[in-house]
Amino acid sequence: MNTAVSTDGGTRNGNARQRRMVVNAGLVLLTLFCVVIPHFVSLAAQEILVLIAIFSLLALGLNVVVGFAGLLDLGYIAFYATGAYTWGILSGAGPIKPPFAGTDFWAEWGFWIILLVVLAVNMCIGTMLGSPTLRLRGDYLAIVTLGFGEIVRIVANNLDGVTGAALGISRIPHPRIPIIGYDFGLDPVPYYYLLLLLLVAGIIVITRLDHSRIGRAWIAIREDEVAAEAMGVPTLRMKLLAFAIGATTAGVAGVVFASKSNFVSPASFDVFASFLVLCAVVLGGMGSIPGSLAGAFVIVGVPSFLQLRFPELDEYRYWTFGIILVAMMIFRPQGLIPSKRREAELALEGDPDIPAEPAA
Amino acid sequence: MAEALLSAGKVTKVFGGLTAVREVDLTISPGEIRGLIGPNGAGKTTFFNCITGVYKPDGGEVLLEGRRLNGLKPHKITRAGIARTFQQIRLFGEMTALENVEVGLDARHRAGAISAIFNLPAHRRDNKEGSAEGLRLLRFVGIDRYANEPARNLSYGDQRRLEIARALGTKPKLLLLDEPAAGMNPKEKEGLMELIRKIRDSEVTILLIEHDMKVVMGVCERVAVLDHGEKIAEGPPEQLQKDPRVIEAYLGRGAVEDAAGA
Amino acid sequence: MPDCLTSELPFRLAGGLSTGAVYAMIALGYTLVYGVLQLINFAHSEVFMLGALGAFLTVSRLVPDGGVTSEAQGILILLAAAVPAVLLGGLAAVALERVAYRPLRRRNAPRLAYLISAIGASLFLSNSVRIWRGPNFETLPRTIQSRIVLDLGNTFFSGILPESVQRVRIQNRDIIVFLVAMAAMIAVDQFINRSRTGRGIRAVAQDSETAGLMGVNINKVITVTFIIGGLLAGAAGLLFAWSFGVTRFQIGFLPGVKAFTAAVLGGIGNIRGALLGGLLLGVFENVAAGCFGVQWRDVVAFLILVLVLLFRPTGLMGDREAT
Repeated sequence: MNTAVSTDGGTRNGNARQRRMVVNAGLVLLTLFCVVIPHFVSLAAQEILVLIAIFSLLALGLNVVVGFAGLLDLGYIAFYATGAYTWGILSGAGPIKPPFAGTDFWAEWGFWIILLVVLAVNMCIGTMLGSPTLRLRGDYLAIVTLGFGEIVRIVANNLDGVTGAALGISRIPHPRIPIIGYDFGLDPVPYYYLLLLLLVAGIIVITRLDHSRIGRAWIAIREDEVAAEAMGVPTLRMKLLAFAIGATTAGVAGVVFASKSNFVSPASFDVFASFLVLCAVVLGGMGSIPGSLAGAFVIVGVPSFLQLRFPELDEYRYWTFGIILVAMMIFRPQGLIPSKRREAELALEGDPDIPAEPAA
Repeated sequence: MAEALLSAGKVTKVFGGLTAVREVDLTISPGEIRGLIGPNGAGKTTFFNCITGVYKPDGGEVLLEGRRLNGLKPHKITRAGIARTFQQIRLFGEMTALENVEVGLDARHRAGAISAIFNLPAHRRDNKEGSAEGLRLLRFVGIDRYANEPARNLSYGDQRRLEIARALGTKPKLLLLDEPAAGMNPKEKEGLMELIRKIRDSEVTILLIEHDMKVVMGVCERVAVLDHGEKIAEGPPEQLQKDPRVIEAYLGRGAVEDAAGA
Repeated sequence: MPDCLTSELPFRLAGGLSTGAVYAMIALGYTLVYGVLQLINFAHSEVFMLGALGAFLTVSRLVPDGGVTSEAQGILILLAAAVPAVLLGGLAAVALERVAYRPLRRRNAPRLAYLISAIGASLFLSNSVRIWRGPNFETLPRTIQSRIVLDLGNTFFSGILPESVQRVRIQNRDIIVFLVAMAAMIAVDQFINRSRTGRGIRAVAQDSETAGLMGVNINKVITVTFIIGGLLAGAAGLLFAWSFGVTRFQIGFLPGVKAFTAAVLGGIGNIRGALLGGLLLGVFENVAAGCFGVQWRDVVAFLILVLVLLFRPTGLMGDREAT
């Protein structure tokens, strides 16, 4: 139903089918491209691919919170941090040595178990933080989440006995594939494929939610919370769900990040990291899944590749993002690849030229 | 006489020092079209908000088929069987007309997140049933040709109809309409009256706030009159037209206000 | 009882009041803008940062190579630095409103759009300074020597005072910052309450639609509001740069969030509330820093923000619901 593109006249169905085919073909090509690309690029570029993939996961999750449910979460990176630290601490690399860490079993299975555990951990943290704060109106929520994000960072920075304080936790183990015993090591490629799998899973889950009554409830809340409540939408519960999904996605990204870089420290989780993810979501198009991925590519991929050639450009990074955010809000609030719904809302005088396929 | 569908007893709402609704009783039988009229600021919409849970009443109680609704959250009350439209249209502007109705229909759906993530049969059934029933409701109110149009692109009158369809989607026993005729031209009003009767015939009871007396007279069997937050009269519309208290509420104050405001 | 609540307390109170006064000055800008637009001017912290930068640039040019020769010269230099600091603040605030907000108001954008635009503007401003001045702290040359002006342990009547009070030593810096901030805020408060323009601001804050119908030029009122907030934030930047002796592209962020906290604590939209909130927050966090260690100071400030929003969203003096 929402795949139908509203053009006039009776050719609607034909057009829609044609367009669908083009989109599907594009998606298949894009997926193939993503799968083979690491084998044709340098090590430095492979590292960047991993970075883009981690960032895509983050953007995917934040898009549910900001894009679908319309909740501006400026402390989003805190959930990435709790994910990374969960693995960092429980792997036994930190100051605390859990009894199970150090066993052969843990060396093989630990990472994968934590990947699941972090879903529960972050869902709990997300719910705990969300249930009081999600009652607040939009801009207050933004500030409170920002405060929460900073609290997490400062706590990590000061709990020497748990998080290793400012020095962080180093020598976090790399994942190993159980039974085969394959060790991911420092090679970026296996991480890239792992992230690709997680991304596909995330995209499927979130797309399906989007097309269910939950997705409709989110949009309804974003559009008019009072009316949504009056139509039987349990608004607080739905907002919490969006928040928790965002939190778990970021947590998973954090676990992979910690094991890839085998090091976590509070410096990775300052408020600017939250802004960066937000920037990706906004640039790509709030509420648009392909948009978030494209946004992550532009925000992290483009500057990183540029930096390989022109290292001196790096200091212009955030400056440029600032301009992008303002310019997008003024000239193209619906983003690069708008969601079909969002486009109508944000661009009131708008011209409906929807790019048919992801530009990434 | 049939058992009451809605019975509100001594409903009271106070804002600061101002009593917006004072001890209002209202009993509605199934199958009725009940009118609720009164001058601006009489407390009609506040009374609606007390019934639908937007406000928590400071006194009295609201029963739907004998079940107490006080203190329930609005979405629970909707699920209990009371749906509403808004005085100022509050559609989900960028969703299509059909999706708007589907949000209402979702109040009756039970498939949760897990079901959606794994595309389980319950979820598929909900979605399928949702679009079919949504289209049926759009046809019922006469705007099915705009099913895939974003709600904000609809004409004013059609938006009013869409709000009604969305509310009907929640399968209410009682439908509260808050000034549905506001801003409509005479022809649209005719259509609206017809629609209201049609809704009643589909076994939905209606409580209607309306300023347009022609509409009230045209569809309501009984009308309650609020003034200054209190119910001052109740009865068949013809009888109320002659009721001196009602005339005073409308004309008396109106004249006084005119003099003061000039 | 820990030291932070006994012997250290007077000293912490004084420091807290002077930091709090700076917070209050910034908070006023948040509160005024919130009053007329019902939005959080997220980039306000950068206005403050630019004020500090303006002060730094002037002071470092005016102080002669060998340092200031007399206190009078130092005072003159600071007074001179106030001009660019305040002007830069006002200018930045107006530019912000024109570029980042007005186009959005014109198309009646959703609230989220304003916040994102503000975050963008904030990144742009702070990183412009970073590109220009580099990422490191820059030190202000000394102008007025910081010294203890009140030492209760060393006066004629010290003997009759309890021991804890005898330890009270208050620096000239704290007193100057506090007094200047108070004077500026009283001036603004009077302006809002007495002048014609101030009446316009209050009218728009009450009900912008009606105010517009009554002939108030809303765009002008909004511009003036941003200017006032900007001037104050610029002045706060000067006080901050002088009292801490350093400036940097990122100094806006923390005081910005704390000032916002102060505005919410006092009751957003309420001018005197911002003052009260700022002072209280400054004192709280300074005392807390003494009790729990300075590394937890910011956590205390953020916790206060969260708790106020949860339990008293109208703030101490406010009447606007923050939910």
